[in-house]
Amino acid sequence: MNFILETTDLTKTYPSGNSELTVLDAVNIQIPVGSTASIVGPSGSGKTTLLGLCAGLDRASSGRVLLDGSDITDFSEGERAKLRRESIGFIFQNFQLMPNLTAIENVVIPAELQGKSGGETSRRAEELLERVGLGSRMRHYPKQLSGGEQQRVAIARAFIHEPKILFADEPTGNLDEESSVLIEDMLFEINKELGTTLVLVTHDNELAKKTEHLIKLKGGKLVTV
Amino acid sequence: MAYRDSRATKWKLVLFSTSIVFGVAALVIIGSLKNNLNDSVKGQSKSLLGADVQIGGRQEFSKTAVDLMKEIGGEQAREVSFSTMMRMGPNPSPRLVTIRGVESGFPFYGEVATSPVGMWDAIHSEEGVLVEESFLISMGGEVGDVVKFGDRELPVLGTLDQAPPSSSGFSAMSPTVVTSFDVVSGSELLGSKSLSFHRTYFKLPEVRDHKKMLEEYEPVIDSERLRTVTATERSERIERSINNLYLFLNLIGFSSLFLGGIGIAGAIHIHISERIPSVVTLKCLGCTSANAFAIYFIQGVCMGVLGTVMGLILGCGAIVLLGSFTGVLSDVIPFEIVIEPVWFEVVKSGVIGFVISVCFALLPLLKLRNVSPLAALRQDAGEAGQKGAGRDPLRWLILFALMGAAFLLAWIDNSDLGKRGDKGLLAAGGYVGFLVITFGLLLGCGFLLRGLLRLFVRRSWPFTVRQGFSALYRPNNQTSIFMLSIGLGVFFLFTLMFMQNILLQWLSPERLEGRPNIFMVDVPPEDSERAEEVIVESGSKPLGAAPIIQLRLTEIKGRSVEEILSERGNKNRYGEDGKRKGKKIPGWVLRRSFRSTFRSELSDTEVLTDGAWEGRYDASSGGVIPISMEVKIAEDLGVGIGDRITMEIEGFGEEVELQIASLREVDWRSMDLNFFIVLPEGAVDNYVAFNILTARSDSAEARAELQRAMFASWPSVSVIDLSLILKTVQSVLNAAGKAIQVMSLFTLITGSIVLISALLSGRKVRTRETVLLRTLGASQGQIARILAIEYALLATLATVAGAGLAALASSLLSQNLFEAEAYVFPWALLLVGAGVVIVVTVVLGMLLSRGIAKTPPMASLKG
Repeated sequence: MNFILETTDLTKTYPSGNSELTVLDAVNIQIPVGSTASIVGPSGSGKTTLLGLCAGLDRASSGRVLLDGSDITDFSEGERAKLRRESIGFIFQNFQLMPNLTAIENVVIPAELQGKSGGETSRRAEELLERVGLGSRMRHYPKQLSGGEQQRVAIARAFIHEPKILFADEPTGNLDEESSVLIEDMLFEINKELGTTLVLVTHDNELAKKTEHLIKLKGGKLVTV
Repeated sequence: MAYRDSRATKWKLVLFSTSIVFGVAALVIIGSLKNNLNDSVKGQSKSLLGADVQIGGRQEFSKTAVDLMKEIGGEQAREVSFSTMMRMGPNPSPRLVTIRGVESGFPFYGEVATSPVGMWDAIHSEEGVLVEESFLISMGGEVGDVVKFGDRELPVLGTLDQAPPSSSGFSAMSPTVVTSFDVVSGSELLGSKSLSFHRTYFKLPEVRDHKKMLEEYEPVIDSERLRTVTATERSERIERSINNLYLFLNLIGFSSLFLGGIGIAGAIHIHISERIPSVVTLKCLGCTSANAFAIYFIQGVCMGVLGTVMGLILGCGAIVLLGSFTGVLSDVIPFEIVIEPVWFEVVKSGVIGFVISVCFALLPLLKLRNVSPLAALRQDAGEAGQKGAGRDPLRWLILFALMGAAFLLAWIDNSDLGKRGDKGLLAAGGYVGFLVITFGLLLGCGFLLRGLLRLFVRRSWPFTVRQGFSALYRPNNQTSIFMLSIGLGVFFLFTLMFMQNILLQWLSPERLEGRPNIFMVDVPPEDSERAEEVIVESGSKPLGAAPIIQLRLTEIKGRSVEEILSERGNKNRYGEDGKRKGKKIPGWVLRRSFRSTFRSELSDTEVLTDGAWEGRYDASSGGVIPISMEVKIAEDLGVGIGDRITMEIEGFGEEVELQIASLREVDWRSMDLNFFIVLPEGAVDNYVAFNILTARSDSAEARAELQRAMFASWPSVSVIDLSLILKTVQSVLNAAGKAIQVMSLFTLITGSIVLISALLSGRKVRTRETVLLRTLGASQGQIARILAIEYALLATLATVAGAGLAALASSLLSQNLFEAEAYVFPWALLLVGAGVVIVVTVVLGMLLSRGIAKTPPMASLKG
């Protein structure tokens, strides 16, 4: 089986006074290409830390991360940035849209960071915004949109550059139930259409059940895969 | 709670409070210096004149005048002064100097210091002169050398370390040489001098009110065309000059303080925006709006107190430091001065600084009133209370209160400027008006330019460029603060640079190409032709000659000048019906001697505005003589076409009746031979007092040769080299420019602090944006480019606005000064200056943004 993401004894510690605090303790996971996985666990179990390490946002204290066939453990910051802009998509709990850019301008950022701009990128962004139901609100600024709408813009942004893997951190955590259902459906639909691997962190058991793989953490240790 | 809340950001708040430090320091320095100078002038008023009273005139005193002086009594000392050419030692080149012949006893107050010591008394017992040390060095001479002027040859007895008091303005343009009264009055030279001044100094009993005494003698003083100065008037005049300079410098100090206040307001605005979630939480926990407001108001007050105290310490420190360099100032200031902090000024500046900073701090605090505890349940808590600020009546109330406070404080600050109370009001109004207009224009330009940029940006541009542009519209980006902090500094600095450039061009010898740059005064009429030959022989080009008739007004439209002068208040502009129109004829116009000429044609520096030009007069007709009068002096005298005046020809004792046939506009700026009154040929040709010849030479050697040749043939002829005068004026202007430069520097430093505060305040927002972009894959290079473009744009907008306003202000001045003449706008200066400001801002911005591009993207997941 082909894995897009593999970790080996992944450990993250932080200095705490004279000792060290281990927030992630020798975690080993394997996520197959095109699959969906959710990382669950109680608060402080290391979910977000694991996501950050896998996505190349942070450096591990020990262990290795293999992403899309590359060992990113020793990647420089520049190499990590390149990997993120080319192969990874992100969705955040707090949406993380640029307040000074319109919806469509937010969506095209990942493509533009790769140097892709112009008509083709704009058309693709428009398609994605239409796809998430915001065809009529492309020129609106984030503050003119509701929380659910902002998260839909974030979904469109996450898929603009057709990433190989998408990391979502509590994507429905700040939304009401109705919006949550809508966002979840969209996320899974587009993911399936594009064949992207989806890794999400959630507290929501119902959402977790919709994924093919469940990674359960407790006290920084892997409980089940 | 205010303390606990500020703990995490206390150093940032301390930095923000420094925004007003330089404004407060500037007020302390300027205010203390003004008081120090005025106190010194008041304390030394008598030694500034050297006497209690001085009576003077342009002619040798008549018997009536001498009788008047006898009647006044007291101790008296006479002085006669004039300009002439002087040669020294083996140096063959003569120079124009001002000779002062002074009787012993003068000055009655103050001292004259000489090297060697005691030479001041020596010039009255042995014939000789005392010269300025700089003049002696420039002539390559030494004490003991012989100087030659007119028919006299005298040894240099010493140098003047502290010259005797002088009230003559012209002496500043040429070196002063002092000798005894007898030497000068006995010189043949004096008789041929057109520009001689006669003065008598009085030491009078203390019991007399000198001003009242002179008023009693006013009829005689007026009829004899004498001018009087009391010691108090002299010191008041100096005080007025000091106060006028203070008014201008203090405005820069006030602007600096206001800029600092705006900096504090901007910093608190960001601080409060970041604190709104905490306020929301506090409110949820039961904190009232008033309590929440109080927490941050106390912080604002503390910042005001801290900034003010630091400003006062800096200001007092600078004054104390300046005080230790009083010796250096002795070259610039003609009296002793003690420089020390003036406590009244320190307290006043402290109050002004505190009130202004607290008023500005109140503005951003207003939004705390509208923060709803409900925001705790909503994600947009950070934006709560920020909407509709422009419609908040309290905000406008505070803004008006701020303007009112500024007006009141400026009024109090300037209330001691003059005896008339309205001067302080006018100054306060001017200050507030200037601040509102300048700040408003800078902000307006900022909005306009930002709007234009938005239209200008194209989607086809690279992402980093567009992202840099879009940062200008980022919420809480403080673009307006940038506009003010950079814009105001640039405005002051560039205005100063442009003004200096204008004056430089104005004083440039090249501007006067084709115009005379050498004037020869007191050429005997019979030697005029020979003098022109000498000019040619010495390599210069003669440009013109004017015979001079010295005229003095005796009657205006049938009323004698004495009658007009004797009327109390001198409101004597009479209409056709003989009734007063009420406009005052300036006394100096009535008393002055008009050096006039006669010629058949208009010169190229004159334009006829009314009437008909009369170039020739038939003496045999015996009628009234038609003259042409300069339009402004005609206005001063209240005369027009057809009006008659009677004038006395000085030195000949004859009176002539003149009728105004034409009015002329004269271009005085041409520095050519120009006259208030021009007579026709044939009318007064036999009454020429002397001739003035003009010449031009672009070679300094040729000019020196001309001076040598003229001196050899006619020692009494004064050769005025205009380029030397222009150099003197330039050095005076440069000295004045330095004081303004120092004050502008204060504004610039304040602008930099406000800029740094704004950059640090916006760091959080920039970091948040950067982290997101980094998470999405932006490289450090891309982030750095975005930041650099943002700073370059902000700096460019502010520089364009500030420099644009400066260019506008200076072009108005240049139009007024140069009129139709070509004024070359200093584009290179503008571009280089603007480039430097932009580069410095970008470098500063990038330095203060260090680390932002390296913030770990992981922060985006942690929120």
